Amino acid sequence: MGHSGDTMINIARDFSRAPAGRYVTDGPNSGERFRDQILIPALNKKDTITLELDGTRGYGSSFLEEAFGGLKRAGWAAVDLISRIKFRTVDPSLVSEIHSYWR
Amino acid sequence: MWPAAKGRRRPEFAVIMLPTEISLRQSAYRRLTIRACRVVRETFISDGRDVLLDFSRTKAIKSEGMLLLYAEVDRAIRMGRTEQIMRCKLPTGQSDEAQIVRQVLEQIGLLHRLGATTKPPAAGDNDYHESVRHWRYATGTRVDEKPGDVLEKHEGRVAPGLMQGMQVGLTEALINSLHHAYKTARNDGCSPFNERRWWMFTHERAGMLNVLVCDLGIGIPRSLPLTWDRDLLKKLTSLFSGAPKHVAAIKMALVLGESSTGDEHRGKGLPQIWNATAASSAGGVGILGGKAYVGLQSETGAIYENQFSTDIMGTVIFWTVPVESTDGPLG
Repeated sequence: MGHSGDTMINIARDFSRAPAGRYVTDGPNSGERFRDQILIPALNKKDTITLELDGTRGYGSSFLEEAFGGLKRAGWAAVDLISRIKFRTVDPSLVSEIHSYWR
Repeated sequence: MWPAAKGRRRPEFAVIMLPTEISLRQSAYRRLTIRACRVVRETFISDGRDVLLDFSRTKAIKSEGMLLLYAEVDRAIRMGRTEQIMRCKLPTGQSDEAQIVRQVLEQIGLLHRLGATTKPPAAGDNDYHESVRHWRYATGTRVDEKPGDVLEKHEGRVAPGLMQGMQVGLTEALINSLHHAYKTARNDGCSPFNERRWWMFTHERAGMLNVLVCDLGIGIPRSLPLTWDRDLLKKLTSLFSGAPKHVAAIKMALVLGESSTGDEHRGKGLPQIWNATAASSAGGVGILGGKAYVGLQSETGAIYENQFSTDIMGTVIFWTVPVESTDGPLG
């Protein structure tokens, strides 16, 4: 599959200011929907993704685990994810938590 | 206040007397409040009768007791037949107590939920008592923008770190309810009702913001063994062996959520709320689950715990944090 370039995703702007929940059945802004409708299409199109995490009401573990941990369960290699998804945030603990789901 | 019964059958009400204080943390009133909830279920849902909730003797309403009662009433109406009727009788007279009870029941929308034609007044836009006018109520079956919106009106007046902790803790607590509280039968004597619902109050008074969330699920003591590894629970049980069973279950839920070693990193909502509140300069947090209560006072760090003889058959979590007054910064 041919990838090209980098894409920037601002979660607050491009997805929701209130990301919450694990599954689509939990609510409209779930980690499952973010993964399936935003992350995976971007990974399929682009070499790298820069995710702007700031600007939302915060992230619960259920959202983060399903969105990012779910990528690993879907078959993406951790080393690939670490090299292709970059984060911009003032809160480094968010990045640590996301990386923990890829170990 | 109630719509005319023109063209409808004449209701035959079963009267359910509410206690003088609706509360879950004072043993005698807790027993009566929980009894009223049970009778609502038995009478309205199981027996299919019309019900009159009689608040005429009620003099005080504690928010956690009211939220549980409201949730039971709301759920009963959803479960009941369309033609069934539930009404309430308000306290009469001009005493402060009677007026406040009437105002609370209107402000939180219970009267409207019971079919009254009057709608609850907008908060901050009425002349209700200062302790009443900022009550807000919400309910839902999913976690969308709504719960956060309720908090957002306080944004800028709650310390930013605390607000974010509350937003995340609130949504995670609601997700916990949706995932764990309704995992199996509630065993409340009613036919199964496949709806995963949460109920919520917020209330601002005297520079403090109170948030309460409730579910009518199986409660923490029953949900823990369904959620977490049995060996892990056994190890933790020994840590809390001195505590009554349901108190120990709540304490274990706090530890398990924090450690995140369980299935799919579940259950962080409780410790997120607990820790955000504990770090605050004032306020507190409380968890009512099954027969137990575990609470924390932020100023002193004191932890309170109690196990009652009665089970709320659900979970109520409440926390209080300081909000900035309109004329000064947060302390």
